[in-house]
Amino acid sequence: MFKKDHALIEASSNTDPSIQRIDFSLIPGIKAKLMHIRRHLDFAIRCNHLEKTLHRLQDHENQLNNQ
Amino acid sequence: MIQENQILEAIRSGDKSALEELYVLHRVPFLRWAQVEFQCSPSDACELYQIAVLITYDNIVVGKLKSLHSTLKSYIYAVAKNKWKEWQRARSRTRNIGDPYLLQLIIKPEEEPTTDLGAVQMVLAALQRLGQPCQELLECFYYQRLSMKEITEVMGYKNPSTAKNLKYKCLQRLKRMVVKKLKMMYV
Repeated sequence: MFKKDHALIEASSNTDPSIQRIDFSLIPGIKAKLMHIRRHLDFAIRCNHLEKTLHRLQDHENQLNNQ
Repeated sequence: MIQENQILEAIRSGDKSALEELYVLHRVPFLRWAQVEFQCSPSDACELYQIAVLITYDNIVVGKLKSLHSTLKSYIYAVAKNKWKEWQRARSRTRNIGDPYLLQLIIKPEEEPTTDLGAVQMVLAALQRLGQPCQELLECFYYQRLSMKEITEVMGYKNPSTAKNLKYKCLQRLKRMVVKKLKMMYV
């Protein structure tokens, strides 16, 4: 599991062009904005999880209807 | 059949099948009750039940619902009554429960006074592009508040250091995706 997950994370890091290191000093204001975004991470993760969970319930409902 | 307090404990400990158990447990009587109580269609009753179960689940995970004073059934019914009223008010603005309305339906603005929904949407979009296993790993840590030891067991990793290392890499990827988006917006 570790090797698979590690490989997935590494592979996507290597192929995703957005993963290039960014010099924050060249982009005034973005670091502050990013700090602001960080505060929303918990909330975004919660929303994402709930959205997926709702889809799971909808799939489950469909399965129950098809039984 | 699994008891309600066992379901509560199972959801809290990250058991994925517990949610489906809870969903099935009260589904049929709820759908009958809701159609009579709210004079709504079967599909509306079904959507309402899904939202009520989802909110109950969320309240268990985030620790708002720690113990049962009555039953999970009456808790779900009470949530449904409140959400039905909100839903009726919101229907004049939108028909479907969908994004970003879903977020606002589940989490009330007064509970998250500093929430900038635009910023949340930006992080959400990056999170969705991040894919698995990063999404699940970050959810285990930031949403379910599992320890590295627990994450190691849930995700099947070698040891807690591995989990910690992967979590760091996932978070870095996410941050860089958000920076890229910000760069496009502001530069």
